[in-house]
Amino acid sequence: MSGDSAPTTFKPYDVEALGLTPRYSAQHSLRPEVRDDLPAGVKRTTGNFDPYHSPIYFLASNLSTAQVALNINRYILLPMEKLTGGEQTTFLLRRLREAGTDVLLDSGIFALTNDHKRKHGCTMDEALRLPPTEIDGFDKLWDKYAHYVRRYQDIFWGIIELDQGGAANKRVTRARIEQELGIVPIPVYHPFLDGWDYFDELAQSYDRICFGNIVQARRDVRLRLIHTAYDRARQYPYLWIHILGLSANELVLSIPPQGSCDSSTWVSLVRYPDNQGSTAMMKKLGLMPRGFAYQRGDQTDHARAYCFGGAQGFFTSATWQHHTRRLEELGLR
Amino acid sequence: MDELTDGAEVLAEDERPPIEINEGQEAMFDEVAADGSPLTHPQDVLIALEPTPVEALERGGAGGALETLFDLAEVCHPDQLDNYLSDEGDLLHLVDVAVGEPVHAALPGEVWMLSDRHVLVVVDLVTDWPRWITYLDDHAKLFVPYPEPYVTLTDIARSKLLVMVQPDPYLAGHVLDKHAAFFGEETIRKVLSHVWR
Repeated sequence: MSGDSAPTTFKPYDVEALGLTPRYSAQHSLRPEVRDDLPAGVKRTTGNFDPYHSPIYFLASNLSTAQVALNINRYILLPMEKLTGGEQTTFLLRRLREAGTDVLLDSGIFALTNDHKRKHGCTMDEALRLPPTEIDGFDKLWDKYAHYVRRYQDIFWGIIELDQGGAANKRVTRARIEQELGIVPIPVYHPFLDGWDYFDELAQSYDRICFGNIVQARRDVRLRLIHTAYDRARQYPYLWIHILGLSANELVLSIPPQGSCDSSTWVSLVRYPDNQGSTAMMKKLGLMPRGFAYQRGDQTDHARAYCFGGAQGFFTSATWQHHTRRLEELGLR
Repeated sequence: MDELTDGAEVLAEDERPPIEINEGQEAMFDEVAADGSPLTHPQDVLIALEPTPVEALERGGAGGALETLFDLAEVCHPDQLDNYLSDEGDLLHLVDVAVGEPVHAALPGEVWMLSDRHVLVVVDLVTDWPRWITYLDDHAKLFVPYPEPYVTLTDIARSKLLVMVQPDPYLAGHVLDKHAAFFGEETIRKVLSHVWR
């Protein structure tokens, strides 16, 4: 069957040379009483996620770097635009499932609007506001989204909706996804486009939401946005918030105990090692000397650089989970 | 007294104020040294951990920048020294990237020394503060709560003595693993075991 054997394009990490050991499986779960049963009228979004296993930092990845999730970091976000199809995609997605990886599927709207913005010279917010019928490439993206949802639905920890066009259009597209594809995607809230009433509407209707507009926001704005979300979410103790495009740094200590975030920073640190450092309580404390950059042309060294970033991401999740659990135990959240 | 360029001071050993420990803190010290010998007073713990900072530290850095570089030769293998300080080194292959169960078991209540300069205290950050606060006794030391396991490999670990407080034994074990993989197994030692009451 297609996907059962490794395609020739797939270059697995040399586990022995890299000194990799079986992935850590223990979890710092929140106490069950932190999360109540869902109230009537709240839909459970599709995915094999554990609401007690929180918080989580997902590594935003492409196919070639996603194999860090096989040996290192069990939390990975795959954007739709990075799924190139073919044998390698099938093979890797199956391996990720076998390895018990938590895969969050992003819809690809962020890349679509970015492309539209560049092509038409508009802003990101202007592109995001366009209805699906007016943005380049939406129908093609829908077909691809439908393909992966239908074929690999059981793999995913969560599936993010096609969040194009502001609140009104997002409602319509989400209903179409639920009806035609038979899943409940995770809705996306954009604070700069949707207004806070829409946050409440989503929070009263779904067990998980994504929170956008973070990537292009200044750092001080980010802090205010996610802290407002935290305050708002106190009315909805079951609600899981995933912050799109936010690295798990000290800022995330402001978000609710049930939540997650993602970023591709771990990859950029491989490309730009001058900024690779290490943290104390999730805040950067110091930098790695230049000698930690990978050696060009050395495949194992290159793989180790990604494993290094993946390991740092995993330790960040473990830190975040441990600290959050302790605060819960001490009644400090 | 040794005055640094930004006005901060590094006290000579004989200039340091005595460490005062209140009754509450003293009651917490029911530990023994790693070799099983009794520690009768918290001061013994500090003596056991003393990394001879004044001798090891020296003023460094071009242009009078604030930097108290320690003697790298004490913490690096000789063949790593040149690379550690160069721009085009080959150090990545020394980094342990495994995230499974740590090889070194760091148990709750234990205190470890790394390269005879950094301290790793495996206790709760919030409630066990009397166990770690006593190690923060001079300006050259830096409080490092929840250290990411690679933190002793950073530039700041070259200029500061890290007092790391890691309540999670899994992550604490990886602090030891990552340090030992890079600097050598002989550079980590347990100096305090905890006796549970």
